[in-house]
Amino acid sequence: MTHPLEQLAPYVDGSLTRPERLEVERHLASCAQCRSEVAVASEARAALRSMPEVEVPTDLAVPALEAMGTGEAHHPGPPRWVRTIPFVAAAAVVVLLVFITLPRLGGGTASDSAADGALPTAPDTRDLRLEIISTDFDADSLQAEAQTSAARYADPTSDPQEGAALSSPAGATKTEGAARSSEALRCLRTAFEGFPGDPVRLVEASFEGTPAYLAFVLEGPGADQPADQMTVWVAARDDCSIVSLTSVRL
Amino acid sequence: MNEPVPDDDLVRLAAGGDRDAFGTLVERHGSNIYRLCLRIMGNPEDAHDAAQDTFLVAMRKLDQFRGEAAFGTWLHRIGVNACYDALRRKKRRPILRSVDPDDGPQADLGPAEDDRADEIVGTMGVAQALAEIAEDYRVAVVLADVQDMAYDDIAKILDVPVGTVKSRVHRGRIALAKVLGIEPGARGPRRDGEPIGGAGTSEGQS
Repeated sequence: MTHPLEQLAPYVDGSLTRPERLEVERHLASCAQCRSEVAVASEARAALRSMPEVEVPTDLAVPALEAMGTGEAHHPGPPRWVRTIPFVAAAAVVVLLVFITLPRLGGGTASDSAADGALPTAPDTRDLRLEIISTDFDADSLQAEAQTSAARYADPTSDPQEGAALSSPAGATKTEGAARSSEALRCLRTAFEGFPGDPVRLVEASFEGTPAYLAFVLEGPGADQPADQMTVWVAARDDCSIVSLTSVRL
Repeated sequence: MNEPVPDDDLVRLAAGGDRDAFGTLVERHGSNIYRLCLRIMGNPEDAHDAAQDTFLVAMRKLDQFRGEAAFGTWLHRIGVNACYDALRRKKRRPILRSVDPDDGPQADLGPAEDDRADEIVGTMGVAQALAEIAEDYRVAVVLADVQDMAYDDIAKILDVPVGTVKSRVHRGRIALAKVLGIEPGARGPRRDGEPIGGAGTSEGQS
């Protein structure tokens, strides 16, 4: 007699179709061994399913999140401190950090604030121009652009604003003033809850066909440490949704 | 009003470095993965390590997730492999411990007869029995009867044919029944809290 071994497990848990079930039952009617196995298997299954829920530890994600924090992931995001301290403080810290490392960034208002020792309370107050370029980025070209910008903006001897226009990707480049910059920043903040603000470069372009705002932000591993990566935050211009996020090490 | 963000979207965000997205995925799947690891490994300490390893490996492989299976199924595959790796490292049978961390180093309970802690009454018998059966059978019955996964998904997780899964589940149940002292036609299902073997215990009447 051939025993339907592969059908007995689904017979016990009731996952057979009706014709399959009838076929197994025809066999069971004439096979004491399979009847016995079905009986004990049913009891074992009942015992397994009677095990109560377990208390789950709350730190299951910790090693993974720590690894993300060290940049182990393929596309590391902003450091944890950006997300764990209040937004205004984070923005202020980034602003301060940027002004320490970049002697000439933006217009006189921000420089004056830094010189006075006052922490700006909002990132939008700086006169950051919105670059409008016709490039349609993808993941690779965005990484390359992040790398180029990182090299340029992290070098305190260069003139970031001048360099930006010169080395932008092919296509017409023009810049817009504070109003358009504010709109872009608002959109990025809507898309990304953890957007730290205060980019060193703000771009209107597209990403894989989606019209987008791109914010290039220098970020450091901690509040008192210099920037060590450039993160590019990309939000859709039409609905301010998340499009992409990528980082490169300085 | 706010629809939950689908797993696939969270995976894309997490692969881009979004820790909040990754944290949400762990919140969603953490209890499932921990339960899987606990029932395979047999004790909370090893289950904790295996579950953490699972999410660490998952984080590293996020960009390899193609969405061909559900994220939970993909995660189970990583979890099962993490448990197999841990079991290989241990090279010994799981040691059952109390789930009460305050019990400290004296929490090792030893044989199942020493079934004493209130907080584990109800699971020790079956958990101990699971630890007694062959790993491949244990993994199969845990996936089918504890995690409630479909045979097709289990086949993907274990990378074996569906027929092999069904055979392992059936054989695993039979093996577990044997350890639990279940005799065909002798009585109702042996329920949790009864020591393995059944000798000198009351009959399960549920």
